[in-house]
Amino acid sequence: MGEIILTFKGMGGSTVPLEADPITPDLLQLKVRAEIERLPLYHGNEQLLLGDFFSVKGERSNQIRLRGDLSQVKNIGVGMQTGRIVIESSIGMHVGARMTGGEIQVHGNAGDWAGAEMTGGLLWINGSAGNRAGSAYRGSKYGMRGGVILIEGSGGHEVGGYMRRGLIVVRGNLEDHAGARMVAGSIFVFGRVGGRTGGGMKRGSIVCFNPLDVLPTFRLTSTYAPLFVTIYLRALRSRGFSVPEIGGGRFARYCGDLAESGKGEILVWQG
Amino acid sequence: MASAIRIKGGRVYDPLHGLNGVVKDLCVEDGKIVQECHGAAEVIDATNLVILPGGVDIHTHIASPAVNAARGLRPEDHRLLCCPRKPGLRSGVGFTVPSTFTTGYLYAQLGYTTVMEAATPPIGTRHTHEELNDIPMVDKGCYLLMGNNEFILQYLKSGDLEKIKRYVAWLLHSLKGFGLKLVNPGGVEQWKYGKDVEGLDEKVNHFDVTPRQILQALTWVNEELGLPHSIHIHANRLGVPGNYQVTLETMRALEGKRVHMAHVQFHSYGGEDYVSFTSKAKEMADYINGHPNVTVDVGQVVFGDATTITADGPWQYRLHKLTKNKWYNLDVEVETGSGIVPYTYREKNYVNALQWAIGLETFLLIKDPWRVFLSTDHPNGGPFLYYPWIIKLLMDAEFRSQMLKRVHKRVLSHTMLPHLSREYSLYEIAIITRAGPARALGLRNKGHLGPGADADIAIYVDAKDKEEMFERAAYVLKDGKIVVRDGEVVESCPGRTIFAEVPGDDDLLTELRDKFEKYYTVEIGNFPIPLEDLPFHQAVPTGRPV
Ligand SMILES: [Zn+2]
Repeated sequence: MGEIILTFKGMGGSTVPLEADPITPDLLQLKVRAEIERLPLYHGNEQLLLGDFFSVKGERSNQIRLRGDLSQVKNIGVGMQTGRIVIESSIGMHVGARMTGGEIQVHGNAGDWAGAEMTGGLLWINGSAGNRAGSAYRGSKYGMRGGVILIEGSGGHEVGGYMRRGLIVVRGNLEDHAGARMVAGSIFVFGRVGGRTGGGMKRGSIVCFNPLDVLPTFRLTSTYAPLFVTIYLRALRSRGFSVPEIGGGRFARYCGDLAESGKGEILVWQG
Repeated sequence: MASAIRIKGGRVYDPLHGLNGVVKDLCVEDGKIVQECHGAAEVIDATNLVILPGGVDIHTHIASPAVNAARGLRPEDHRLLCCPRKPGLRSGVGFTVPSTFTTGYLYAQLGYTTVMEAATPPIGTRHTHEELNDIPMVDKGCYLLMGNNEFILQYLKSGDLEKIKRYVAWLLHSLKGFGLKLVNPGGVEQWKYGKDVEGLDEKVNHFDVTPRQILQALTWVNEELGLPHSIHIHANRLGVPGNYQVTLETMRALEGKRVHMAHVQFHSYGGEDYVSFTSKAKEMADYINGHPNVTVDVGQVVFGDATTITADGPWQYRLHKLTKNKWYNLDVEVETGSGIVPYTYREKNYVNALQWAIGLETFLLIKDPWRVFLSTDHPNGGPFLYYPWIIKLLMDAEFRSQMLKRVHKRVLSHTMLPHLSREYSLYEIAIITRAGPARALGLRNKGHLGPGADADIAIYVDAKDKEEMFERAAYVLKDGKIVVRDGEVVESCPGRTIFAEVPGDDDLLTELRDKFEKYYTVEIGNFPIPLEDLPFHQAVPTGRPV
């Protein structure tokens, strides 16, 4: 099966973001080219057609390739269930939010809310992610509920907030409130983390490879060499996500947040 | 003025006039139903269509400071239902707590034309009216919360019933309320000290009065003032296993008096905890069947998202502890309390599934449809958007038994539902959603299609699937104008705010001014709501029937 190539034609200098919800493999694999071009997209409060913004090559495929500067294009792959989207540049907000399956590759940076409330699938960002990647939308009880987010650059604030299940791996740094109020799941950060990491977390693991200011509501319980970290790192390498060699490194284990149930943990690499 | 309309050849269900599917033309002129149109009239061909009076919701929560707080507490709810702007119509969002305009449109699409906000704290009623003004398509009113008002408790303590009557009249007059609402009488006052009341004869902190005294005093006041609607009661111990005893006790305490028991489903529970949780719908229905002074709305539970909003602060704290969901609590000065907790009713949860069954048992076991009304206690038992689904459950025993097979399997042995073969007829549905609530509210121009009635009319395409039928009205007429066609709102109309016309009592002002200075955060001068603030309104006369 060939792929569908959507090349962004720009928005004539407009800074209003384009809402591209229909661009999912689930929908496009059912459509011929002319139908794809006629899919409605919202640009601000105006409803226009996909063909007004993208030139379309290919049809009826669950493999989609996006080209051009897409940093003002939102909602790509929202809710997608199957297939694959490759984005050859940076992408706007909400990429892969609420996705349940399939795979998205971003060869650039992603805007805020990447993979927010996703329940399955893989979102791989070669550059950096914005705020609230893999987190809950405002008001929701849970953030990411499954699947994997790999970020080769850095991430913003509240990454993994309210996370319920799944894995987030960040090669660079995270800003404040990483994994805040998380309920379960795992976050690996190879760079530095900001303040209040894991604040209000109930369960789940945040694995840090650099020293951090642990909140006073976490308690140091032990220093050990957790097997699961070794297994995770091996799995990441085998998928082609390069991670630093840590040998048989030991980790300090802080349990918390004791202001909540205290069943979560922050692991800090001791070298 | 609205022009004349003749609705031709439809099957008319008008229980007040005993019309049970009679094919008959209806004439509408100047917003009223008339015997015969006098001049040229637009014709609606209603051949094969079903004609009912516009729906009347006797108990819902759509406008108040608490409802608005719920909108704020639940941004996630906004994403579940979005209505974009259309020509002449406003945009809005919200599934369990829709914004004001959307609330009006959604009710109208179902064929509802009159709805009652069932709880507004006096001090928040200015806000409530602002929101009601912004809910189009329907006539509306509100019940003032009184069961924990500290001035009333004070007067009650000193045995001054006459003073309570005058104060209640002053509140209704000043705030343009339609009726009196008691929520967990005495219990919300106790909550201010972190407690609740367990039974009708427990003393309320500081005031030395009991829930029984509060119930009896305010029921007496309600009848003395001759309000169109009876006293409207959310009994003590809502949601608590074993609470049916208190509910029965409450009705016994008011024997012989007109009384409306709100969302009885939530008050019909046996057992000692949520494990031994059982249905007492039968016991409740037996009592209600034998006591024609009682009307009830059911507060049916529907599966899915709900937002619980109530003045019953102590219960909301319990629910928050039970669910670990987010919680909003507000102490409303000297008047009442308020709590909000999001909730999801699940088919596979034994308690939720039994609550669902108890609601249906209540509908099916109460014999007189004129005294049991459709409600979900929106949005406490679920959003009003599910009324059509409930109607289907009532009209279709086969569908009911299918649902029963889906829910938690322990429910099957703990409910009478499998043995209740009763199916509501369209005529009975017209009673529990129109004629009955209108009569209980004392709204003489609503809920029927006789000459002189407001021309609020809902027309449906008859379908075997009653949910489908009631989901989208083919036409809705409000005050004689076509406002809904094929389930879509085609024209917005403001609707009127209905209130009870109670004479003011200026002699009480000096005393109240003093109390306001001592205990309120507002000045008494800013408290009353002048009629000019209700651009569309209608006063309903009061006074004891001769
Ligand atoms: Zn209620």
